[in-house]
Amino acid sequence: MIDQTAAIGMYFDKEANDITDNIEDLVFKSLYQGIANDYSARQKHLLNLDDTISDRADIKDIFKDKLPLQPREVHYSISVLQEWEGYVVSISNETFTARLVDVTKNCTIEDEEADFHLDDLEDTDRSRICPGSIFRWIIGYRRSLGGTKDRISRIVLRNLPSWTKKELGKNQRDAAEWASKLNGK
Amino acid sequence: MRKLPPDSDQFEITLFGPGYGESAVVHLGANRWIVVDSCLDTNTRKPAVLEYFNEIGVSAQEAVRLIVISHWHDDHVRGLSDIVSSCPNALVCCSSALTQKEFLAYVLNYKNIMTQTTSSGVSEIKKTFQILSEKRLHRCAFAIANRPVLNLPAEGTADSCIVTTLSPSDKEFDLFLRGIAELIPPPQTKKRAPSLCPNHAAVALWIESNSVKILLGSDLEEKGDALTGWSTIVQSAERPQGRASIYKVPHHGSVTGHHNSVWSDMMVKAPIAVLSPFYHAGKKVPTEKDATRIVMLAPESYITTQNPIPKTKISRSSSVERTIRETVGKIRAVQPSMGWVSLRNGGKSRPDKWDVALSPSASLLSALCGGTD
Repeated sequence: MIDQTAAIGMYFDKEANDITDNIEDLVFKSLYQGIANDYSARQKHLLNLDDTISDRADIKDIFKDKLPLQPREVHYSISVLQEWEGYVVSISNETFTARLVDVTKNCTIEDEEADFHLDDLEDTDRSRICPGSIFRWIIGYRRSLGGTKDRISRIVLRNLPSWTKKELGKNQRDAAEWASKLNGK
Repeated sequence: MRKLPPDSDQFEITLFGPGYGESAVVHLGANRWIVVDSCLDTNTRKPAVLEYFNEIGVSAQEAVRLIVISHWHDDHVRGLSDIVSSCPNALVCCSSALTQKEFLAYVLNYKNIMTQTTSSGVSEIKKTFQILSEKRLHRCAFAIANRPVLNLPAEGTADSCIVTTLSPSDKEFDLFLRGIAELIPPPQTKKRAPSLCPNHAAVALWIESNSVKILLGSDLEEKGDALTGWSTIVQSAERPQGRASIYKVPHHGSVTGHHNSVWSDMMVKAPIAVLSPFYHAGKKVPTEKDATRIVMLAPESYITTQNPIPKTKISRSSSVERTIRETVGKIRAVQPSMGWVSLRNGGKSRPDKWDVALSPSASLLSALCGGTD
């Protein structure tokens, strides 16, 4: 949790912090919760591994396709009404099918399934979606500081860290040891 | 659900299947049971077979002699670690392909990718194998073609009984490991574990006593290769002989698990067939064509649930419902209420007479055959 808070904190500058004082149910509490988790995981990853990324990456580089380019441009909040975590089962020309876990109801099993339009994805997400991709789907209200209110649906592919040679190598070694145990060697 | 356990001399097979998931229990007589695979009860989220044992007053810890992990796909392993934990006296049987370092590396690479789901197939396999390797309470047996893995003597009024694994063949073992090797992830963003199709490590079972023979087909597929699938089983001179009167139809009734010679060479004429459906990602198996094919061969066939739509709709606010309609049209529920089919024979006096009990969602398979009965 500290990591997540720190990750979010790194993102804000002073002006954005001023905004958060007035908007408690900010988008970041839920919409970017997954991103913060991803960041936390990636940060641990970077601390331990140096075989894929040589320099410590900045969060703005890591999430440049996810976070607004200029934090000070955030002039709205999002009240989340409903949230799912999903994984892609299949992809056709115009749609993808996914299994969904209802995060709002704290479900731990994918009880639901839906067909999404690929057009509803951000361009960067559309180019990298594949079977097995994990995403968050959020429905809520976006309120601007000027008072306008829109009902929104956002689908955000999770930006999980990559497998690394070091990690794969460790798993290979652990697997060999595990196989010996299971086979009584 | 049944409320009482079978008599000592009765055979029973109960198949569970909510539409995505499959599990079975078989009573071999004298309160000796085997469990094949695991799926979750859609209401309690606990393993359906443990709920069933609790309901009929059977102690899983004492009664389960064998747990078979027929294969590792998500829909066959959910809750498996709970079953293994609850049955420390049971022999655990799976293909040895699943305990090779290649597959275990695959499990480690893809574990815990999702944050919200706690029970993906690889995570469940990991938990199960950790129990086996760390607690070392269970004996393990590896399934290969024509290996008797459980041999029970006669006990009281119950006959002796042998459980034999019919697969995987040597070639399937090799193909499985080759397939897994291709799933080693490249250095790219992590994703959920892909499945390996066809499923070369599936374990089909032959259960035999003096008076009863049962064939459990797992998800074993047929590809027209004499060294794999059902072709290699039906052609085998070493397989247990005789004809089964009960058939758990493989691969949810899909034509990919069908082989004519299984019906002509390994079954009595018009056996009782049971199957669970597979409703996933818009796919529905068995199709009407599948159901018609099976009913032609086994008029008394049953399906654990014929309706994938649950009776209770998830309640959400009108704003959310409107947005769902605008975004995806509608959301399909994929975990309808648990369905089951239970067959119990008349014991030693009437071994060929099977009493059938069905859950409310289960039915004769003929109900899916375009209105013909």
